Amino acid sequence: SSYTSITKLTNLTEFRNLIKQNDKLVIDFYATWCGPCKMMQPHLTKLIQAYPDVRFVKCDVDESPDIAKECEVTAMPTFVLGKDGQLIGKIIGANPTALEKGIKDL
Amino acid sequence: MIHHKVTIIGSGPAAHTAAIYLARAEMKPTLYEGMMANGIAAGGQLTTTTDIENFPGFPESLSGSELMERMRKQSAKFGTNIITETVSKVDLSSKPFRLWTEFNEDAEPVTTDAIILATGASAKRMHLPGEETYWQQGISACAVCDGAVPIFRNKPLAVIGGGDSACEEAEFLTKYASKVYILVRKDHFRASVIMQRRIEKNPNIIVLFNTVALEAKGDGKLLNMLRIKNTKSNVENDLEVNGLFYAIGHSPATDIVKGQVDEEETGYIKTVPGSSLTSVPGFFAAGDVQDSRYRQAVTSAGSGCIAALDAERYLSAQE
Repeated sequence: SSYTSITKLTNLTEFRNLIKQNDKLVIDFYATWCGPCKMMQPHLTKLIQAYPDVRFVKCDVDESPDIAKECEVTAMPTFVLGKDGQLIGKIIGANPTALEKGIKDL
Repeated sequence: MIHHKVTIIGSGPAAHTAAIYLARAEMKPTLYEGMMANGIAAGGQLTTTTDIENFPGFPESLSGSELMERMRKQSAKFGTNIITETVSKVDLSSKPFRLWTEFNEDAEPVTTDAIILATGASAKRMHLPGEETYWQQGISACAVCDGAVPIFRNKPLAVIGGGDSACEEAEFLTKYASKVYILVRKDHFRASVIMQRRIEKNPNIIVLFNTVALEAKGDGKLLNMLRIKNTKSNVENDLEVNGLFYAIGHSPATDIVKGQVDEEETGYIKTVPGSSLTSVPGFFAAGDVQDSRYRQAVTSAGSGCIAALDAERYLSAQE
């Protein structure tokens, strides 16, 4: 699997269920305009392959402002981390090292 | 030990044009595009802009990111070795030059016979009181990157600056905002006439001339106010805005060669007029890192071509 093949969230209810259903979760909030978001894509593909027990999903902030609002996304990219059915943290910016650390700590 | 004949540092139009020329001349260039080098995605400042309407050959206009993707593809097509790492240290004191990449500063350096520095420039920040608190919580470095986030939707926003980029950002932000204020320090724009006309025609943009920002204020979590001052009357006011974007000029990205090569007083790399030659033979500069004046995609590309030809001449004289 790779970044292109992960689920794209579009529905708020689906998003809420997803949090409850996953022990380890990473949501990538991005926009198609956003260069730093694109820079993260190859890194995300590596992380998806390195951490098969973590569920990765993505959310286009332009298409789904309601989900972005619920997660209080203020800049892009933002990675929201979920653990045991709850949202526990947020990493703002295109920083692969910080993201991997966040995933390891899940 | 890794050795490159010629190394290009950068990822914008100057870097890729230099790469295309050197690759086609069979010089096997290596280009370090960086991983968020200088805080900007590979592709450089153009990745933070919207439509490019003044690059010849693209009458239908295309996005800055798209233009850069095309240039990168063209470099790669002719055999440029593109590395997505950031060069963090360069030693120009002896030949061959030596360079190190981020997170590998303690490793053995890469050596190279010639360097083309095309690291560009990045947007300046104001460091207003309150900016630290609300950075990425309403204050953004990139309107195009962050415009779509919910905190800016149907809210009043402010752009500071009087040039084309201020106008362009303001126009882009009207896609999301209820209205956009442009704060211009002087009593007139520096922007091109075509951009000024567009701003005048846009009912959701309000221009405040003779206006400076003094402080960013908020609720402790998100920005919601800007303290502003009219420089003519000295009257201060609070302006309700939920977003603040800077378009107040640029600083050249010269940190990796500080003190090793002559700079202009403004901090830009000094080049012999009409060429890419610097005070260090074998070290060339192209694009915005040596140009505080024109700073266009097309002039940058032109200077990348000049640097490639200068580097090629230098390398063949060495052989």
